[in-house]
Amino acid sequence: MEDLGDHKEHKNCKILKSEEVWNHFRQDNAKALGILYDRYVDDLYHYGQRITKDQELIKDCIQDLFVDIWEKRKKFPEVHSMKFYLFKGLKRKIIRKLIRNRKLPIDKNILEEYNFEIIFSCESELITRQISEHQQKQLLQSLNKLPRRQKEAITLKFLDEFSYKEVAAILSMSVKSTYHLIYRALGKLKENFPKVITFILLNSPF
Amino acid sequence: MIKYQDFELVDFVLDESFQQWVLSPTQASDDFWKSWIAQNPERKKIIDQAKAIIKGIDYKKLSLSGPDKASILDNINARIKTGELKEELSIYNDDVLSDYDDVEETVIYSLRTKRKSIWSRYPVAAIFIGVIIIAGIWFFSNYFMSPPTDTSMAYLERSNPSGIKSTIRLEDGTVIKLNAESKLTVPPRFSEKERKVALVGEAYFEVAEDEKRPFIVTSGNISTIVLGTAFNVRAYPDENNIEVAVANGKVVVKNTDLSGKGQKSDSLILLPDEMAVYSKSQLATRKSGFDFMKVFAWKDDVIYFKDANVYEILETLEKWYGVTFIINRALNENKDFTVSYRNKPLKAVLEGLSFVFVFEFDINGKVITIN
Repeated sequence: MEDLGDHKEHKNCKILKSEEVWNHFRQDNAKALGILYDRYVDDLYHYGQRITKDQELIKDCIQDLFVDIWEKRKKFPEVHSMKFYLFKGLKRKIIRKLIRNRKLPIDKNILEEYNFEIIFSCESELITRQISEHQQKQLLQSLNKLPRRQKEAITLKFLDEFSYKEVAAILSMSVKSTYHLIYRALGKLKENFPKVITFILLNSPF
Repeated sequence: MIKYQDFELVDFVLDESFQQWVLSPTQASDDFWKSWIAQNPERKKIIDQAKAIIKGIDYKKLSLSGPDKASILDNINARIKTGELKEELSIYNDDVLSDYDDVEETVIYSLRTKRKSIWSRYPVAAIFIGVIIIAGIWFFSNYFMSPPTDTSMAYLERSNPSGIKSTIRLEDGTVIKLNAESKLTVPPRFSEKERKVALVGEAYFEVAEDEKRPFIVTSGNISTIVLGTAFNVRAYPDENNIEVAVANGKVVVKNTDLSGKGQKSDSLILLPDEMAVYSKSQLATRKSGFDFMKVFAWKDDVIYFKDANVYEILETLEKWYGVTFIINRALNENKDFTVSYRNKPLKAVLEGLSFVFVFEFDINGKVITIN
């Protein structure tokens, strides 16, 4: 399992590592807050949409998150992965707010009321070259039938490129069960690619 | 690496080192996988599919617009400033922080929604808490005070900028609350005959009793002499009057002006609820009553306005919060307003005022624009 600190998260930002920005930030450099914000606001906003469909609530939570980390900046000695830290913080805020806004009694499964839709990135030519449209459709169908949590795990893993350890921490579960969660979710692949040695597919689930 | 021989598509997709190679390849992983594929050409198709799936997974989402992004950041910055004010205030009065958090909630709420709607949720009455006294207007800058002349020892100085108040405890047990834009000078050690401090600006004194050593506050031409009592001295350089008001005990106020003009060596004895007002223009001191809240509210972190017009109020807020207002349009001067605020963030105060005096405001750091 890779260490949290090894996580590659800033492909486009070679100038200053996020953790260095964070250090400036801890030393009261208000500018650093703007840099962190610019760097992560899109990712955070997108991540929020995997938890709730309420766009305004996500924006509010992003606000709260940055105000919070500014106010608490001195209490955090070191942050290994800024992105991980922010994602986890955002998720906690969204859940709290969802629970607070809820008129009904608190329900543990508040997050399962909502689900987002997995797609294959349209920019990825790779996928259209490698997997037939039919297979893609079937794969997406079965992926989208998964509970939100499993989909969250898959996207955190492949799209946000977190390590299993980090995904586990964001989902508040053990690394082992996170692995199994993703494994189960992707087990669907097996159904859709039954022993694809030749891919002139006999691809009927019936 | 024998383990990969038996891998099927899903195993590759799930394998962390495979994922790492696909998502962020390194020289080493690239070398490894390329040679593995070269040795297992029949697996290339599966590898490519696994790569495609790992790279292709995405989800339906909206993106933030540029203006949305900018306005969230603006709100963050505004709230950070408010938070810093809160921090400063908490230095003096930790026990009100819990009340304060509720106010903070209000502020957060209002930052995020159309301002109008706040009134439907928070009745106006809740904002106008107080029923107390008059407006104090303060503006000025710090001038250096004339140093006391009776010693050459190094004096200790405490100087507050606008927006900051502080509490000072002296060696004899006297507690002094120093207002914003004010300066107190204290000798390193009091002499055996007297306890002498110098003040520019405003301070509230709770003097520890010591019958043998009178406590003396010099402020310009006025010396206030006490044995043990609580009183307020207001002596801002750009105000015409110096005011000494007594909460309890007995105070002697002495005019030490030796220029020969005006009354000389007049001294007044003040009892509780009495105030001495020295006019710099007339060089004369007179005794009067005073409004307790107007004089003493500040020491308890209460901003108090009575029948104050909007300009008086904004000037006071500038000093209290250490901010500057840029006023871009004429405001209704004929309207009087009475209110008190205890430890409220500026934003919350302005929400109330903007409703009463009908203006819009924009907080940008320490500068507030009124439109």
